[in-house]
Amino acid sequence: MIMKLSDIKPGGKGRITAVTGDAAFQRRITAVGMTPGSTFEVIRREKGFPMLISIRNTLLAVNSEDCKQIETEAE
Amino acid sequence: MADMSIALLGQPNSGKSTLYNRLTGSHQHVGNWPGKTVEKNEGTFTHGSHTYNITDLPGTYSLAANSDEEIVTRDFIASGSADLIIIMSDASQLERSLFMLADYAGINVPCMLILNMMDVSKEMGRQIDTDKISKRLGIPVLPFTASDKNSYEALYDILEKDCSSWHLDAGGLEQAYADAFGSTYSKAVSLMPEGGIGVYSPAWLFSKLAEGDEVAKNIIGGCENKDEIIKIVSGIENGAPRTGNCKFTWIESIIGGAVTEKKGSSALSKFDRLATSKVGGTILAVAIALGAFIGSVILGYPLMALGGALPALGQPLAEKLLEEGAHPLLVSILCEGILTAVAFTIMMCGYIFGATFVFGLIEDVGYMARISYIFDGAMKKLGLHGKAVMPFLVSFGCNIGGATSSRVLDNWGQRVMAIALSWVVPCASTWGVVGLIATLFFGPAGAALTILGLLAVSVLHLIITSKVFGKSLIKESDRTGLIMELPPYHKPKWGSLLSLSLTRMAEAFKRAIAIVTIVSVVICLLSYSSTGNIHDSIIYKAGSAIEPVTLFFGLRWQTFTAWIASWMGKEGSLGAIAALFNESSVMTAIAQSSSAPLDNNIVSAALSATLSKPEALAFVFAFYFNMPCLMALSASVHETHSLKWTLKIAGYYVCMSLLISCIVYHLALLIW
Repeated sequence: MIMKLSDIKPGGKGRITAVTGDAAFQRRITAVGMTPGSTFEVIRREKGFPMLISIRNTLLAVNSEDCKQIETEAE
Repeated sequence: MADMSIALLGQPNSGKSTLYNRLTGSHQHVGNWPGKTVEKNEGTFTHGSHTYNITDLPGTYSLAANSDEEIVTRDFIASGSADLIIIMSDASQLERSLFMLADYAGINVPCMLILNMMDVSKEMGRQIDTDKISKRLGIPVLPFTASDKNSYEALYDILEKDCSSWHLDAGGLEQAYADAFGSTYSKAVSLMPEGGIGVYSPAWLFSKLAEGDEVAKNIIGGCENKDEIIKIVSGIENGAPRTGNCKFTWIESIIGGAVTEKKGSSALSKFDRLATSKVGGTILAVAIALGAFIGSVILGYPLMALGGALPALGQPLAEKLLEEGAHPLLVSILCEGILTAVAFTIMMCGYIFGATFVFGLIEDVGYMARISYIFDGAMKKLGLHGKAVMPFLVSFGCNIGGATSSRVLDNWGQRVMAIALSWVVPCASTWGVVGLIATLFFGPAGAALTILGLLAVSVLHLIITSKVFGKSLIKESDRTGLIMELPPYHKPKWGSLLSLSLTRMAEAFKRAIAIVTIVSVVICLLSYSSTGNIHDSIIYKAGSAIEPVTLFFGLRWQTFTAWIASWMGKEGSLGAIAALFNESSVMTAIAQSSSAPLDNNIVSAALSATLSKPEALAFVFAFYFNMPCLMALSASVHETHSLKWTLKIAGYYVCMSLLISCIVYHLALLIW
């Protein structure tokens, strides 16, 4: 089932299936390692805060609105 | 003439700048990239009989043309100015940080790879076979630990070899593009010149075009099949995620079998669980910021005390010079004007040193990213993102430090915006003056209310200012949300922190001393009177002549002069008040306000007798919202690389300050 990254609760793991949004956002987000096919775990999701995501051995803070543009599926 | 030119390329937190600082020591030069508002760091170092030029390229996550920093980086590499590009990666986050290498692959300039932070990586239980990686890439790969002398020796040895044949083998990546894009790829590439264009290979150009890179379109501008190529690539959707996927596939094939590791846990450490929690994390961030501020003052205290004690020399020195028969005006300029300027500048340098060290330490150990995470929401309301919090925090001590710390922001517009907004934050000296005047006129409770009022108007000011400058400063494409790595915690590098703090302090001193001296000499001349009575000075005559106008804003000629004097240094205002109401020499009073408190009894009596409560309140607001001191202005010019913008913002602040005092004054008249 396809879910937006922003809808995944802390502790949830999955695989990125698509990165939407404009080209500039796509370039920025892929440069930090969030590409289709990569697996991740959501570490924190608090209202008013960026999401914390663990991906490729890195802890990333990503603006929560931007997480709506990342599609994922459960592993 | 240097034997060789090298450039350092790497992502933020790759340890690039530490290496640069260690190699060059004090042989550095900070300049500007031609036509761009991006800082250019160049230095030299020698080893054995060889001399090297080295350029520290801006830290960016990729070579996409997202920002000026990335464009500058690309243009520099393409220009052929460097004989060798050293690509830095973080071994503790190997896969992700090799993205820069993958983005570089296809650029035909000799390069080598440094895998930094091998110590951290080992601690995580990871073994990296660098020889294997080196064979696969066709370039030298050096395992590196910044604190280990042997690492540098190994680097020097590599640099002595002939690097002209170190070309990164990008064959695997080209295959990945071919597999992912099929005939689109082969068609587009076949239309390009076989050897590529300039230093760029056809495959590199293809990936950039697929990613929607506008600058890459210019690169193929001279190509005869240009239109056809663009037609082909414009059909590609989701280019960046797809090429990104290819790049990581390639990275996996490069490090596959060369890296063995224990399965790491992605769980947060106990400390990070607190540091990133909503309530606890916020409290911790505020507490650490407060502690950092106090720590900065403590570290800077010796210099601040020295600066503060300096004006006391003025009196004996003046007497001595007068005895020797020097002209009183000259004595006044020297002992009051120049001495004050030097004293203020030294005091300011004390704080700059302390703040650079303490906030640098927080950044160095990796906690700064957590503060940015916590304050991202607040910064977003101002059109910025979490990384912009640093200038605001540092400004509570000193706006000069605030301007300097805006360097953490990755694009120019956001940097100027953060500086413009951080000017609202009152520095330590501003608080001193506000507290004194407010308590004098309104008592402790009244002063507390005044401060609440000031804070409320500050919030309003921030919002209005972000709206006023937001549109023109930050392009729609630069209004990006936070995408930031929270790096693992590191041990601080004390040596480079110390040298950074000293460098920043020296920079600030050099910039400030001239401007403060000139202004202070001018004030000195204006307030000089041969009779010693203030009524015979130019400042009195000019001030009282325009008082009818300034009174509209609630400012008497004395407070108006004090408002102007605060441009020199916020404490200067207090001195001006003391002098003007005490009718003594203005400069002496300005100078001594930094060391000794006001002679409260005399001045406060004169103050309360002359100023009404609305006038006092108007002054407090005008003073608080005035533009920062000229030292902060010159620091802002330096950081924004734009005199025009700095003046624009300063003009705006001056107008806002008068507007606010006008409103406050007329409202207060209704009450009292």
